[in-house]
Amino acid sequence: MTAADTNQPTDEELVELARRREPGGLNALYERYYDRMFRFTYTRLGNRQDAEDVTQEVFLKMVDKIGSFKWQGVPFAAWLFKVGHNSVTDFYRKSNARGPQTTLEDLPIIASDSPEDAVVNKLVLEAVNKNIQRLTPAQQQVLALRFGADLSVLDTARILNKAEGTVKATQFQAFQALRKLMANEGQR
Amino acid sequence: MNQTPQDRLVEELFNAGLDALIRGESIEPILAPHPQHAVTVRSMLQFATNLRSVLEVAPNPTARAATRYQVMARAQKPRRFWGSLVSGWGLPRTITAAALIAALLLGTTSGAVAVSANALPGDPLYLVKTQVEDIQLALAFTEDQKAEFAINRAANRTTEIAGLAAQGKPVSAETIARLASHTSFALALAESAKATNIQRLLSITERQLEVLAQVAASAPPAALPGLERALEAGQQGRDRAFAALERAKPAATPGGSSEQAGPGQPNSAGGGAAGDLGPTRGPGAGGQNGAAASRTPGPAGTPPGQVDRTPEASRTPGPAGTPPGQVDRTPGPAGTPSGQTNRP
Repeated sequence: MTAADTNQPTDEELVELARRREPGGLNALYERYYDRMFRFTYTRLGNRQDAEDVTQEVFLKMVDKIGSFKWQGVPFAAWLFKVGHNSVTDFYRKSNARGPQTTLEDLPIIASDSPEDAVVNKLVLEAVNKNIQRLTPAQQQVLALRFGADLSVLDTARILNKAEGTVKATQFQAFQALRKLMANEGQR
Repeated sequence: MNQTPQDRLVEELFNAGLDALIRGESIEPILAPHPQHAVTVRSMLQFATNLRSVLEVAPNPTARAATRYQVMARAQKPRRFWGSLVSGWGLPRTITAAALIAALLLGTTSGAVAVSANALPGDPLYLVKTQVEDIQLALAFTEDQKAEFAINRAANRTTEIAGLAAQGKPVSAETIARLASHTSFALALAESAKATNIQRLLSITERQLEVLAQVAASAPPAALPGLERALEAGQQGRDRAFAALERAKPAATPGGSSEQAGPGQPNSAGGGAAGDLGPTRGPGAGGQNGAAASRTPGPAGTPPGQVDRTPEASRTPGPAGTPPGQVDRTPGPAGTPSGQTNRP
């Protein structure tokens, strides 16, 4: 569903307000993209604390850079997640490619019907997390952008500077690899 | 990797099926022409669907509120040395705190801080006043204390707008934006702090509306558009404070989403306060596309520029059909200050 479908302001309208540093525009963009950005960084980093830190950094960069943002046929979401992608890359560089250091308590909140479901959900998420980090960087990037950020193949391709066909192939390989890893996990 | 034609077909079917699932469509039309691969692809898509739901993780609400606060603070600060020092983001917290204490002491010694307390936007000492507020916020030791300072700051903005209007001075767009922004900060902090803070914020936003509405009745025409925008910002702040208060209650009302108004919520001032400043309202003055436009008008008998503050128990339905104490909350983008997004 697009903003136009729900009579909500479009990204273009909000960006224009944000460029003038109108609180309403920035606040609306923040509300619209925070959760997706968090899921993206969390999928990439596998650690809640790091994901929160990097997500914050992304939005602070958004404030700093939005004045220079130009509409050149690229959606705002693609621009923002490019900032997110670069921030994750910087984070890995600064932390010497530190891997996920997740404990059960670190895992994000997942809505559950019962405490038992909540524990199972956390265990599943922990396993998924661990195995996503075993994928190749390219596969992780595609998974995070497609499923964490909810981006289309086209926008994912724009952010990664790849062809759409390459993104689709990487996506398929990522699922196959992850499925295999999860299956092995289940046999232990 | 060398792919056979069969592998390529499975990949194509998987990618097409995934797109269909994301769009909420059936995958059967995609699989039907290829029954030999249907089981494999369906199983892979099931895995993808499960993975997608597992990764639907929610961020910590406190971290979310804290980041919002910092983002809005970054946006608000002018990009200069003093601004970066006061806001402190990017500097180690200890250095920031030391610099702020020094700045506060300096201000107190000169007496400028005390004198600036009554400064209005445009006054020479107004910058000192706002900087002192920032320092207090930065030096707060607890989240509750920080929320308290933020709430005080939002209250100061209200008083200033009333003061400007009383002196016949125009209320600038910047002043209005500051009111909205500071109210938003206070909300972000109060939403994750004690219910008593939210209650206080609710009182302050109610007061905002009352003061602004009273001022609007006698304000010079030049000040009315700005006041109208301030009223809309105040309504939005009050609605959010009320929703936060509802969320903070220990036992949630079944089905009572904080976004859905019900009996007992504060009455909207949309029809009476913001919407009735009519004659001075230019196209797109704020209410046409924003909060006022999206709300059901309040009781038609509410005088222009006034807020219906009748106690809940004694409210009767107004002729406009809005049940007493109800607000028609047309959802904007989550948390969007609806009165601001379409401002010219």
